[in-house]
Parts: sequence; structure tokens; C-alpha cells
Amino acid sequence: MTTANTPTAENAGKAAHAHHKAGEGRVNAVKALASRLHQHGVAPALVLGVIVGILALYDNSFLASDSIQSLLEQSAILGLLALGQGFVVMTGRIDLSNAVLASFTAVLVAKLLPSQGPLAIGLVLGLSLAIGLLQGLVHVFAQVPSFIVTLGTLGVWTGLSLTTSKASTILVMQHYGAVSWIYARPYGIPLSFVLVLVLTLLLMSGMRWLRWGRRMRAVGLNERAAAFSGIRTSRVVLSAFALSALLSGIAGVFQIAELQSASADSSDALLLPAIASVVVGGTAIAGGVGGVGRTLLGAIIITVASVGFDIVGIPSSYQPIFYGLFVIVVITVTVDRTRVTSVA
Amino acid sequence: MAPDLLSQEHEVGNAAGASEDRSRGGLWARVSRIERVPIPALAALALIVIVFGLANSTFLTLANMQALADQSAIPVVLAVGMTFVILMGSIDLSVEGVVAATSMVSALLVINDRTHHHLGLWAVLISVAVGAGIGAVAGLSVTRLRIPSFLVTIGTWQIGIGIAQVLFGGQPPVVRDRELLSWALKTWLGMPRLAFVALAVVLLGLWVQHMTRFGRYAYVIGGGEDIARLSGIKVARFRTLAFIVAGACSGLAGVMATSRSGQGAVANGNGYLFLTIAGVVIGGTLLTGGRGGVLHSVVGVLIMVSITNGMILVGISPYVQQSVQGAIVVLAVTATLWRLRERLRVVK
Repeated sequence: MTTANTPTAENAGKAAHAHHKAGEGRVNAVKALASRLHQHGVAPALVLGVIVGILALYDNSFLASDSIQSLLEQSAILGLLALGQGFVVMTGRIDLSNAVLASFTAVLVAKLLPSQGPLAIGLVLGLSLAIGLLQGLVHVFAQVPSFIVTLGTLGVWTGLSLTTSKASTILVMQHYGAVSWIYARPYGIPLSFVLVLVLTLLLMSGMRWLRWGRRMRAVGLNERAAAFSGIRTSRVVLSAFALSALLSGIAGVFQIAELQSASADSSDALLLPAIASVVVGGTAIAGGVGGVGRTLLGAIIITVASVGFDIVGIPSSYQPIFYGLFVIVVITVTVDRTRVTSVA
Repeated sequence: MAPDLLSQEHEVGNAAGASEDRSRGGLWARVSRIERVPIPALAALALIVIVFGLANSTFLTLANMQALADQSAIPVVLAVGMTFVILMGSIDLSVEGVVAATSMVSALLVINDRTHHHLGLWAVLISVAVGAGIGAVAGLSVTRLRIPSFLVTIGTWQIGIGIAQVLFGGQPPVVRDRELLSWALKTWLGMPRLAFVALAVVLLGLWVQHMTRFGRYAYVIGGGEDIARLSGIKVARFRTLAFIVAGACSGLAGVMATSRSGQGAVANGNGYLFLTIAGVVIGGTLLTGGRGGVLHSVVGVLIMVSITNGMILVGISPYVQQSVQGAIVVLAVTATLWRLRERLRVVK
């Protein structure tokens, strides 16, 4: 309150006004700093640090390299789903089908791997890309809200994975080597997490340096304005849905690598944790604000939290309640109420 | 879309060419308000019944009618509650979770093999209250915390599943309360008692829809929230109430699911989300709100249950059902929202 508050005005009303303005200016400066830090993903990193610190105090073995390795390994699949969901949320939409799609693709990989070998992975990833494009096309072309399209396809893929697996667990015996390397730990480094990290860095640089990334952000911030400035918004939205489904497909492959088996609903429960990862990472549900790296941070936070449950001794049956409340609370805290116009 | 109820009636009356008939008396004007009766959905139901009746001789037997009534009872109750939420332009994805939680609550409160409670009818009321409570959490989060309903209700869905899992404790409570079991096992007039419970809920829903302020305001709010607010309607309060009503219906459905399966189970709610939403949408209630009604949803649910039942009779794998229901949701919504398409329209 030093520069702007020089009392040049004679009457008290004006002075009070200026005083008020100066206070506002300082608040704005703090806000600007906070938002700049926020844009670089400081908040989720802080949250992660606090949770890890608490758990390390609670249980000394938590920071042992062994438990950190398995923790990062556990966060890989959730990270993949969260990354995909993050892009869809970035455009202000949601993909309710991604976890179920991961289950479905895992079933397909398990079915195809013995006969096709490594080719099965390519086939399934291609199919999941096509599925994402299909979902995006229905949403963009028919102008049906994304949560309805993906809710419908959630049912479609659930039914198909039940039909394909005949509702039983499929064990992968032949050609398991084609995927098992993903969960190897050369020199103690969990390869699965490294792959996710590399993918994250690729997507981060895409968001930063490609025209596509800037368009994605523009569409999320103000779709109409983006359309008027010549961006083909529907293509951008399509790319988000395609990417989300492709990452679900990769998550399916990872799941086979981790469990060596697939059943119709093995990844279904990851829908809400993935959304939780996105929002705790700081991507706004209204779209436009957020990033890729912070979403991975969010996924690690969620994984650490669920491991923390075991350490503290809370039964896993409580976890859905936690995720449900957590998502509501985090969105409540982070939602930008000036931008979410409709809350129906 | 119609800004308020009066002009909506006027618009509909005009469409039916009834504007001049209004002077002749109220009767024709009332009959011509076709939106009150879901004509297209009823036609679709008739068509489905005829097709499956011809395809399989057992479809139209009394035994299968009983089976249909038994299978529709729970989704009909769910759809009545869901109707008010969707009429206001929101959505409730939490039905399976709430059914799981209240099914477990009711199983543990009547005579069962795990606890020593025997609250009888009070257990039903408590379960409905638990459902209404979860609905209230969702409703207040939507209206006060301003979080989109589809996100909130995914949250309450998981909260419900979590409550059920915690109460489950690794051992399903098997119900020994004859009164509650008889709901599903005994019949009145050749129909399972659960169907009469559903019928009572439908009649109550119709009464609420037509005779209460809540029911009529639901159309106004769904038709245009801004205008509703400007004309002095406490939108937030009524929207919260809609979620509470939906939660209460899910709570009752949970009790019915317990009665039907004879035990409390986390999986008791499985499959009802699609059946309910598909039923509401296919009955002609617009997802954007403002159009439709309880009767529409009931007919829609009957359509969905008939399709499911008929598919099984024809010999299609039950696993495909969810796929078919999911596809129907997308197709029905696409068809009903198709005319709203426009260049540069932003839909999220």
C-alpha cells in the first residue's frame, strides 16, 4: 500500500475509494503470483509433498526405494487414464467411458495375444483410436452432450467386454513376453512408469509447442471465440476424445502386462480415481486451464493416498466413499464459478 | 422452449389447432394437450409387444407378463424420481450406488442373519430416508456448491457403493423377514406385490407432477432456468428437492431390490442406471429439460424391459443387454436433440 495509495484526493470518500483500490491491487498481485505458480503445477506438487511427508512420518519404510518403485508402478495405469481424461476435461468435456474401455481393450488383448502375438497390441490400439474417433464424432456431429455419449458407450463397451470374455477371467499364457517387459524393473527402475513419464513429456511438449496444444487451450477457454477466430474446434475436440481412447487402449495393454489376465471389469473402478487425478492436478472442469504434467502428479497423489489408506489401516471398502467426497470437495475448492455458467 | 407453463400450454394448444376450441370449453383443450400422454412411446411399446409376441409365443403368456411386471417394478420406481431431475435439466447418475447402499441398510434393519434388528416397516422408511439423504448431498452440491450434476452424482454413486461395501463386511445379510420377502414372492390379482408398490409410486409421482407446485415448477425450470428465476421461483430449492425425491425413490428401490434378491448385496443396484436413463429418455423426456413426465418415463421403462425380456426369450446373450441399452441411450438422445443442432452451437 505504498505507491497507489498517495492521498491526492481531498475528500475522504475518494481517499477511501483509492485505499480500497490499492488493497484490491495488492490482492490482485498476490492472485497473479498465485495463478502463475498454479499454472506451473505448484499446488499439486505441494499436496503430494505434504501427503508423502505425513506418510513418511507415519511409517518409516514408506520412503524405501522398494515401496516407491511399487508405488510408481501402481500409478502407471491410473496415470494413463488420467492423462486421457485430462485432455477431454481441458476442452470442457468429460469421457465417462475411458475406464471401461481400458477393461474392454485388456480383454481384447488377452483374447488376441495367443493367436496374433505382438500384432495384437497394434490391432487393439488401432481399434481404441477408432473408438475414440467414433465417440468424438457422435458428440461433435450430433451435438449430444459428451457425458451422455460416453455414458452410452460405457454401456456398449461393458456389454462387449462381457460378451467377449464370457464374463470370466482370461489368463494369458502364449506370447505373454510381448507385453511382460513393460513391468520389468531394470536397475530397479520401474519401466512402466518411465514409459508413462516419457508419454507425458511428449504430450507436454505437444501442448507447449504445437499449434494443436494452443488450440486445445483456446477451445477450452472459450469455444465460441476460438471458432470465430478460425479454429476448427470440432477437430480439436475430436483429437481429445481420440487421445483419451488411445490412452485407454494403452492402459489396457499395461493391465495385461501387470496382471497377465483380464476380466470384463478389471479397470472399471478407475473412472472416478482418474477424474479425481485430473481435478486434483488442477485442471479446471470448465476447461482451458490445466496441463498434462500436473495430471500425472494428480494420479501419483491419488495412488499415494490409496496406499496411505493401507498404511494408516483404513479398509479398502471405504475407498469409494473417499473418492466420491474427494472429487466433490476438490471441485468445490477449485471450480471457477464465473466460468461455469450452467450447473444443471 | 416455453418460458413458463401458461405459454407452454398455449403453444401446445396451438400446435393441435385448439386455440379456437378453447372458447368452446375446457374439455377439448385438455384432451388436445397431447404432451401429457406419450403417444409415440406408447406406439413404440405396442410395436415391440407385437413383434416379440409374433417372434416368440411365450412373450404374451400370463407367466411372462408376471415376469415383466416383476422386472419393471424397480426401474419404474427409479424412473419416477429420475424424471423430476431430468425435467429440470439435471441428471442423476447415482441410482446404482444409492440402491446398493439402501439395499444393504434395509437388509440389516429387518430380521436377518447378521444383526438383531427387526424394525419391519420402519426399515423401509429409514432406507428411503438414507436415499433421500444421499440425494440431498447431491442436490445441495449442485445448487449451493455449483458443481455440474453429472460429476456430483458420479461422486454420490461411489459414496453409495462405499457405504454398501462398508456395511457388507464380507458377509451378505440374508433377509428372514417374511413381510419384506412377501413383497416379491406373493401376488395380488395375479401380479407380484412389488408391481403394486411401483404402481403406487407412479400414481404418487403423477399427483406430484400435476398437482403440486414442485411438479409444475419442474417444467418451468427445465424450460428456462433464467426466466424461472426472474419470475421469482426459488430454483435452487426446487432443484435440490428434485434430487432428494430421486434419492428417496432410489431408497425405496433399494428395499425392493433386497426383497427381490432376499439379501443385501453391493451388486443389487447393478444394471439399473442404463435401464432408468434409457427409459426416461426413450419415453420422450428431453435431457435438456422442460418436456416429458412421469407417465412418459414409465412407458419408456416398460419399452426397455420388454426389449430386454424379449431379447432373452429370442435367445440373445444377456451380456449384450448393456450394449443394447447403451446404444439406445445414445440413439434416443441423438434423435430427440437432433432438431437443436446448429452451426457454431457449443455443446459440452
